[in-house]
Amino acid sequence: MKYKSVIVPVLLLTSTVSAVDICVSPNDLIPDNGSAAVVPIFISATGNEVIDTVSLDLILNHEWVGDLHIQLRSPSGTIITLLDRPGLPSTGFPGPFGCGGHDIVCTFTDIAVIPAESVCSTTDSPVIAGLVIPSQPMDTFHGEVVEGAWELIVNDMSPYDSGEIVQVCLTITTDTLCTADLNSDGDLNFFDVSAFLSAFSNNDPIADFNNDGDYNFFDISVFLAAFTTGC
Amino acid sequence: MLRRFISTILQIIVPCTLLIPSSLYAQSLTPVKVKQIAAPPSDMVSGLLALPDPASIPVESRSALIPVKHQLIDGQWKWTLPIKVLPRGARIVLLPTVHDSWLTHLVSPNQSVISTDISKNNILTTDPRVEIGTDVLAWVAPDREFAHLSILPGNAGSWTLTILSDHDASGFVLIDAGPENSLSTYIESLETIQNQPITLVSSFSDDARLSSLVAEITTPNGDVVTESANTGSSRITFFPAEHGSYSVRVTAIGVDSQGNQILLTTQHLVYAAEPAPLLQSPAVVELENHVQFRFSPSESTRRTILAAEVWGKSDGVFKPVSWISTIVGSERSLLLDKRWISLAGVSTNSLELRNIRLHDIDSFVPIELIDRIPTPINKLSLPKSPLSITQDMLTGSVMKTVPTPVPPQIVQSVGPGHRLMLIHGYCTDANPFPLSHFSGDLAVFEDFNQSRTHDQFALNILAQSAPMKSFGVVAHSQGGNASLHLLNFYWSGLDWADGGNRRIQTVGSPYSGTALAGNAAVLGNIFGFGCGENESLNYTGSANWLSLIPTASRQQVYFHTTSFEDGFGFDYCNIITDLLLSDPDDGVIERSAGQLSSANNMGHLEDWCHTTGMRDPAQCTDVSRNTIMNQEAKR
Repeated sequence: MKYKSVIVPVLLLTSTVSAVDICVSPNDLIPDNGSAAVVPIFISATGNEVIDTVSLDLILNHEWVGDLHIQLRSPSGTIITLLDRPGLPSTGFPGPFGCGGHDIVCTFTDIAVIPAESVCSTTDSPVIAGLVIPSQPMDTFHGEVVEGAWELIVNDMSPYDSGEIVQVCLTITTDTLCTADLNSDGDLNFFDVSAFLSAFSNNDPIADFNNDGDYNFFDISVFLAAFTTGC
Repeated sequence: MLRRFISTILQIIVPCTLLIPSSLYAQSLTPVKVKQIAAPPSDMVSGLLALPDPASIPVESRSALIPVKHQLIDGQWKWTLPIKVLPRGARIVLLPTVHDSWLTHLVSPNQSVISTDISKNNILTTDPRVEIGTDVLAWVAPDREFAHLSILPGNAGSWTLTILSDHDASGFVLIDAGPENSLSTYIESLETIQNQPITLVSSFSDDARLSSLVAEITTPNGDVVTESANTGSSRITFFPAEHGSYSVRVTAIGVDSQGNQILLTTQHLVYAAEPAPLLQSPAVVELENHVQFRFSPSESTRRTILAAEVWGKSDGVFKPVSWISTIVGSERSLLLDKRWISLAGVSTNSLELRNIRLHDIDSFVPIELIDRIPTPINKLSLPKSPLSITQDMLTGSVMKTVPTPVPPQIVQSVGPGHRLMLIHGYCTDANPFPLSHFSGDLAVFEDFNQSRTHDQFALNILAQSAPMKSFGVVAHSQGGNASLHLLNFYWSGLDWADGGNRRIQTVGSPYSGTALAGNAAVLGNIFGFGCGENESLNYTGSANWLSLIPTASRQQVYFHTTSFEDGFGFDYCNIITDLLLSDPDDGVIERSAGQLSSANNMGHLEDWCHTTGMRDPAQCTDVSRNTIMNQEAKR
């Protein structure tokens, strides 16, 4: 499995946003009318990076895209549907086999203007191409942790046609939380120290910086380290 | 191996056993996906989609179909026809209503008598001037043998045909004798509509003079009326008080330039369509990607075909934009993809519809024709002009449905695969293609012994193909017309056929109709029909139908035609239909009527006839052609 990682820092007042772009080329066959093909994509990130936006580039060869049900699962376990058997349910007789076009070379993204399931052609190949809107919004993942095992889950729901997953690229922009900016004013200064001490003395959970349930020296140490590191 | 063989057989047999008889067709309406058809300006300019000049699609005849009307003379029922035979000889076919009811005497100029008694199979003669035999009347009455007599060339003179019977036994005599003139008759207007007069116009070839013109018209309820042309006129008019099929036999008598008397007839199937509510001027509605022309709705669920040309001005000159068409129900509207306007570069405030047509969906009779309706649009947001015409511009990107009476879906008859469907033709009792000539996943269409209009036939294919993801077609005769109709007007698995080179392959398909349709209508009245009249298959219905089929659909068709072996002697596939068709023919379809312009002509072969039982082998049994069709088929 091949990993590629590119990080582009962007400055914000209260957090930093990065882009994580990871591609895998599994060349996995999709079982025809059988069990799901699952493509794992592992993303390593700093612990305080959370998801801002997600898009997914997919190259998939298949003889009948109307067979395909495609989902994306985040490390937190959230699952969204990217494509749900385009052409189905059928709007009229005959059916019920959906779009019979070939192949997918597209980017699922919320900023697209065309729903992936509305794209169908008897002549265009790949039939689903360019920027397309997934069946459920990628924004569902917003705020979740980035790091961990993502999974692309592809099901072929009808017999006679088969395919393979050629390449999957996951692009995630992230927010990096600035944990020491306790008053969320975008600056690290005396007022954040004051806010920490006040919370610490009141056993406010936001002062539990090492998340151990206790309020002690170690919380002060982690806070000071975060304060010193800056945002 | 055995398991695979059994599996293949089951795949073929199971669908057959699950077919439901036509009498059980549900009358409920199903929303069927119809295409929003469009054609480029080139199809408009070429005239491909224009209604034909009625005079260009006549029925031509070199024979006469004469009713036998017995008279009781001296206790015997007798009918006599004098025949002046010219040096080229003559052919006579005896068509009694009841098989064994006639005793025939053919009396030669020297008074020798040649008798036939079909009931006793006494059809032999030793007279060297006459050949006698029997044959079926292909397509019309394929299960009955009829006697035919040929007076060989070089035996000119006055002959007499006498038909005797012990009762008043009706029937017809089909005769080709006399001068080699032909009679041409056409229907003056394509708009043959109930309660509007219908006129037929007749003329002889080669400047022969017409002296008498009579039409015998059988109405849809079976009444027979006779109309005559005024003296010197070549026109006969009748008034169709009912909608439906009228069979018409036109009898013309005249004299050729040599003074020889001519007696010829033409037979016609004329469909008087039920009128529909008028279209009126459409409301023009801008949609996101389309312009919609909404005509006045119809109160009934009757389906019709609506079509119009779109024109607009560029630099002050009108230019064709697109031709648009679709099947409509009670809601009658046309959609124009805005990209056509961008491509034509015309101003939207000059848009107008021209040649707006509403066709009956079974007979294809144009029910309403409107020359032009201005439809200017002052403000219209247009997309960028596309670099080229895309498939969705030709078939529509909007999935509309129209409530349609379709035969029941054949649930689970064959698996949801990709198949090659073998489709038979009109009024057939079996699949004409040997299964051993084909391989892979097959489906055999079955709607035996039926007469279907192209649309009914296409919906039947749609129903039987419903369990399949996709399918290609190898079709015989009308099965080819129906497949093209399906591809043109409806969404189906045919649109998704893939993996080969040819979507629709046909053999002996009457794209321009057959003269037998009219003859079948007339003769069917006496023989009775197992299958019935078929208004989709006469010349006029076919021409109307073809005017609704753009190039893009036709290009998906690969057609083959055949005819009898053309040797030195008297050649034919079926000796009886040879008198009704123009050579060369395959016994049912004339070669000329089997052509489909803008489609792929895969050639014409001699020595092959339309069906079994003809003089040369049946065209669907040509293993070399079937092998190629099997290899080339999309599925």
